[in-house]
Amino acid sequence: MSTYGVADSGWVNITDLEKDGWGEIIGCVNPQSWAALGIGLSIGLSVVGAAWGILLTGASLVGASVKSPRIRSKNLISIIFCEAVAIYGVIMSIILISKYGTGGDPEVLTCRQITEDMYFAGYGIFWAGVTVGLSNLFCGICVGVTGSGCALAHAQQESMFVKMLIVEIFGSALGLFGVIVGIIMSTDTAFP
Amino acid sequence: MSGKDRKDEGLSEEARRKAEYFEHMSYYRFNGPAGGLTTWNAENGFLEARVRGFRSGFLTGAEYKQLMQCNSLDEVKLALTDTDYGQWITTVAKGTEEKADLYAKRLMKACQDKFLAEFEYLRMHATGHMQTFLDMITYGPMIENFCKLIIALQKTDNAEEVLEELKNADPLGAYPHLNSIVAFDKADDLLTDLFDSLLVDTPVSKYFWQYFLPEMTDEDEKKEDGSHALRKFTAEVQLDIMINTLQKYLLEDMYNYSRELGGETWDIMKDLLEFEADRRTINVTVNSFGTPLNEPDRHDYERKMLYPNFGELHPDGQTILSGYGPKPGVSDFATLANEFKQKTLRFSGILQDEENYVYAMRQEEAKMFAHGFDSQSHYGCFYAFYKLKQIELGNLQLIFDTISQPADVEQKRNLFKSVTPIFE
Repeated sequence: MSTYGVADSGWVNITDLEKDGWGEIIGCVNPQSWAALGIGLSIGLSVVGAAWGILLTGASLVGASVKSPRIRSKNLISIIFCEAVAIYGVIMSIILISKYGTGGDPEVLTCRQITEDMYFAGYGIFWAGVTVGLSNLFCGICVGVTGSGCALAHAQQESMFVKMLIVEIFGSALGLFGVIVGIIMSTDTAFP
Repeated sequence: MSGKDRKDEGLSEEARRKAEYFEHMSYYRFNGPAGGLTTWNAENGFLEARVRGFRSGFLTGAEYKQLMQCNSLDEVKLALTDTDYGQWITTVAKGTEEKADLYAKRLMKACQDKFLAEFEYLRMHATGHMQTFLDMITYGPMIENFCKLIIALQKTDNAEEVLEELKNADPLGAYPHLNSIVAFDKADDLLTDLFDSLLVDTPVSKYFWQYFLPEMTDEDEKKEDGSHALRKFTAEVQLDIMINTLQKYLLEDMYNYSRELGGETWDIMKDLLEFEADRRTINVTVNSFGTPLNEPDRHDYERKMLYPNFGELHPDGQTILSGYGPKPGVSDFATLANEFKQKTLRFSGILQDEENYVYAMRQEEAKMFAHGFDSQSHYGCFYAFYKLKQIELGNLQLIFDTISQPADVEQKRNLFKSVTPIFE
């Protein structure tokens, strides 16, 4: 006897999903909607991170450069690091969109017709998007906070800039890690 | 907010309703928490960066050395044009028939104007919590201004002399209707009149209210409108006790507000304000030596009321200060120093040396408030900026005064010892 779509062997019996009901909640959602959500999250969360970072850095930069105008050009690098985070999100979204495929059959896709490939593609793209989005979000905040400190320290002492920049470089590497993992996750995913 | 009840004390019914309405209609973000590293910059990042810019404008040790080597005020002016004061000091003209102290006064005023411009810049751009915080910093000078004017009013009926006093008022504590204070006559119920009509509208009215409140408890007729009970409060109040009590209430208010703000602000301001409280405790005690306030029977009630109710010296150190009596043959100061040394309380090291006590205390203050600029995303740097600037203006005043009087090298060197280095 299978319960909730699980066969005696322990594997999910797809054909029983509709019969039992609970599995439908996630199992019958069109995988392409998961993929679309993932793409949206990847660009959305990345932009939130980048914007948050720029607002943190920008406020300090503008205030500090009134007294020390020499910091204006160099400290724009902090802003650029934050911006890079958003660019990672855009790149990842474009890569994921290329796996998104077309709408498929004009007929309504029922739950029985969803294949393993589609499940793999849907979930793969969704979680790749979430991975990239979340890692870029926190990377953006990190670079923003350190960039703000860098601007203030640079305004006081000329030699502080390069040291603080090293901290920022380590911070911005976090976003890169997310992109790498996301790309590997979504490598073989493809909607038929 | 927990502070709501305290703020509404003493307001009429209509005023209370209005205050509630405006508080209800204001945006949440102004009344929300001050935020930490990730959110503070949205509201206050610009002003904090400006303050840190002002921090780099403090005079350094090398600049002080150069100033102290000048022989005349012209050289001082020249030396100052290279510093951050440059723009402000170049406009000061020497004038034709010059008494040196008039020139010195003008130079000093230029330096004070610079600080005033910087602080007012911050205040004009501030919103929300920052606005409240910066306003609270100005309440100290405001209380002093009011009290100086009350003292002037007590002394004389002449309106012009009172206006003269007005010119010496601290501009940071400016209040728009200060001029109308000359309309009050020197009379028995001067204080109550003043409070009813003028002081009750000012932001510092709550401190005056707190001050008057204990006096009103033993009134036979307690009216709802507390102003009538004030009529029995005559002008026999000792004005310097009043000033000290008001400043103490302001300090406690700042402590409570910083605690409400919480986070990094609370961590930094706690240390700064506790230092202020302990310093006030010691200063009040030391200044009371030789006055009637030092008598043992007045220790517990009157002098203790002037000690703030927080700080490292509270409550143990403060109990000690009211416990000992004057010993024959030993000065009060030495007795105090001994008590502190035995119990190893704060400032026991400074108190050992009576001559340099004031200078040493100022040194401690400069060191303490330099910590106000540590860390990021807190309001403590604004308070530290104000305090350190006062020390710097004191240094400049000392330098100007010393150089404008003709004095020999020995005397000069002695006076220049009291110049407090900041951020060294």
